[in-house]
Amino acid sequence: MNEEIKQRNRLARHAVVDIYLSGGNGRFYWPNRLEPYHESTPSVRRESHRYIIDSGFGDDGASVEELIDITYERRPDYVIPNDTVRTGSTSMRTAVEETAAKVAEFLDAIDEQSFPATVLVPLQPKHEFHLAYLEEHYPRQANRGHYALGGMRDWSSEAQLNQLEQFREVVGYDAYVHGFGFGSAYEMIRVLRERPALLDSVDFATPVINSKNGEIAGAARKPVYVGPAQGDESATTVAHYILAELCDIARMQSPRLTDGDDLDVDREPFETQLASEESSKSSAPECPEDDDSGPASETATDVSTRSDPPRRPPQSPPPEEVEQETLQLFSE
Amino acid sequence: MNRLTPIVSDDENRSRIASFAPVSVYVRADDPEQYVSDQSGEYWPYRALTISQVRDDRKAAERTVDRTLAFRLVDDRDPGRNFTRELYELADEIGADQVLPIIHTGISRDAIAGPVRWYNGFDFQRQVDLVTPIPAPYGLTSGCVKTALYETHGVTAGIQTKSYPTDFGIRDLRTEADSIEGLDEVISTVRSTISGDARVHLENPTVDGSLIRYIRAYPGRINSLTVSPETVKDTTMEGAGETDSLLSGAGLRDLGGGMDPLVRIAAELSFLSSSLVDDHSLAEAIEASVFVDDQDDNLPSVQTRASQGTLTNLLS
Repeated sequence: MNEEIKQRNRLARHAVVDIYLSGGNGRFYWPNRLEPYHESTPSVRRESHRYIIDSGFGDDGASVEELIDITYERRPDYVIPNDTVRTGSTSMRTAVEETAAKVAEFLDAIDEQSFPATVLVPLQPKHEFHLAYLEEHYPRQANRGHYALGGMRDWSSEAQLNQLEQFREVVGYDAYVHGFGFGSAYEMIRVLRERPALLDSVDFATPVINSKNGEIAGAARKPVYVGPAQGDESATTVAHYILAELCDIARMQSPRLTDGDDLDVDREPFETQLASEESSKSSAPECPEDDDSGPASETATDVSTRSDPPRRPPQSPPPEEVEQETLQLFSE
Repeated sequence: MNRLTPIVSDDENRSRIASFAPVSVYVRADDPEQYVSDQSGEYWPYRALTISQVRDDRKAAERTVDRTLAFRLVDDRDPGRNFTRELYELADEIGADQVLPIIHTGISRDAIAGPVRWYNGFDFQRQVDLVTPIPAPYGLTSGCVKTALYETHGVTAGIQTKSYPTDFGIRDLRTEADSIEGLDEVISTVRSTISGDARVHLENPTVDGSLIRYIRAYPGRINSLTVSPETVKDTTMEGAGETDSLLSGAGLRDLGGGMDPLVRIAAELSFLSSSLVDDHSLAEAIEASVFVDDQDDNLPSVQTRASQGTLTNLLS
C-alpha cells in the first residue's frame, strides 16, 4: 500500500500540470482530487493529498455558509465559490457580473486569517475580460492571483489553447491558473507537454465517465467499450479502471517519462470502434454508480448516455460566440 | 520513542497527517533511500534542498525529487554568485516544484522584482512555482514588493506590467524573529502589504509549542515552513539543556535514534497543528511530543470552527 501511494505520487508529480480527478470513488488513492460540494465524501478526501471543493453553480451550488462549513470539515486545499456559468440562456455579462458578486459575498463572509483553504476565483470566458472587469470593480479578487478558468469544456483543443494563451498574456505566468474540465484529451496532452506553463493544474472526470460507460481509454485517448463492471464490489473494479487511465494520462503528460514517439499511436482503429459503439449505444447495459466508500453493495444506475457529472452545464457556448459577445460588450 | 511515535512512524499515517495539516512542512534534507519502494520510515511528502546541496550530490537530489510530492529548491548562494537564471535552470533540470531565490543586497524595488522578471521570461519545461523572497528588513522589503509587483504605474525600471505573484517566502527568521510575537509582527507586516490569500512560506523559523498554537489559531496565515538541519543542530549541541533548547528533554532524547530527526519534527509539527488533535488534548499532546511548550504565550485567540474529528475516526 505504501509503495503504491509513493508510485502514484511520483507519477502525478512528473506530469507537467497537477492532475485533479473530478468525481467520486474513494477506493483508490490519487494525490489530487476534486469534488463538487454536493458529492464531497470523506473517503475521497482521505484517499487524496490535495483536495478541491467546487461549490457548483447557480441555484444548485452550495451556499456561502455550506461552503464554509464543509471547508472546516474536509480541510481542502482549495475551494471554488459559487458562480454563474455562461450558457445559451445566460449572457456573458450576466455570468461575469453575477460570478464576481458571488465571489465577493464569499470573501466578505470568511476571515482570511483563519480560513484554512485558498480561494480559487472562477472566471468565465473570455477570461481576460472577466479579469479586467475584476480589476475595475473588484480589485480584491483580481489581486488574489488564484484563478479557475471555466466555460471551455466543450471547446476544441485549439480553441482552448488560444484562450489560455490570451489569458496568460494578460495575467502573466506567476499567477496560479486552474483549468476546469480539460487536460485528458489527446490533443491537449500534446499541447500541455509543449507549453507546461500555460496551466498550473487541471481537473477532468473523463476516467470516471468512461468507467461508468463500461469504457476505458488507453494511449490513443479514445474510449473502448469493455463492458461495465457489475454486481457487488464492482466499485473496486471501477476504481482500477479509473486509476489505469489516470496513470496513463499522467505518464503521457510527462516528457520525462514518455517521449513524442511514445505518444504516436495509430488512433484510427479506436475511432472506428468508437463510431461503431456510438451506433449501437442505445442498447448499452447498466453499470454501477461510483461508490463512495461504502459498504459492499452498490446500486446500479442507467448511464447509457455519455455525459459528465452535473458539475458544469453540458452546453457551453462555442468560442466564436463568446468572441462575438465580447466585442459587442466592448463596443457598447 | 514517545507517545506520538506509533502515529508518526508509519509512512501512510505520515502522508495523511501531512495532507490534513494546515501547513506544509518541508524537510530540508535529501531522502536517503534509493528506490521509491523503500520503506525505511524516512518518507515525507515535502522536501527542500539548497542549491549547494544539489550541486554537491546531484544524484541524491534527483532521488529525493522522485520520492516527494512537492520539492522546493532554495537558493543559498553568496552575494555576487546568486544569478537567478542558474537557479531556474537547475530547478527545471531536476524537476523542482517550487523555487525560492535569495536576495542579499540592494533591497529595492528592482532587487525584489528581479527574480519575478526573470521567472516570467524563463522558458520552463515544466511547471515551477516561484516563491518570491522577502528578506529582512521586512517592512522595507514588503513595501518594495507592493510597489514593484502591484503598483507598477509610473515604474520606469523593473516590471512594466502588473504581476500576480502567489507565493512569498520570508527568510532570515531565526535571526530577525525568533519569538512568536516577532513572527506574528513579521507576518502581519507582510500580509498587510501583499494581496488576499497569497501563500506565505517561512524559511527555517523557530519551531516550538508556541508556533504550533499560533498555526492552530490562524490556519490561514502560514502556508508552509521549512525545517532544516540547523533546527536540530541548535538543539543538540553539546551542553544544550532543556531550558535553552527548542525541543523538550524528551525531544532531545527521542531524536537520537530511530526515525530521521527532521522527518520526526515535521510529522509531529504537522500532526499537532492539525485538527486531528482536539483543542482540549493539545497541551497533553505537545507535552508528549519533542517540542518545548510555553503555555504562558499570550497568543491572539481565534476560535476555529468545530474540528473534523479525531485521528482515530479519520484513519479508520
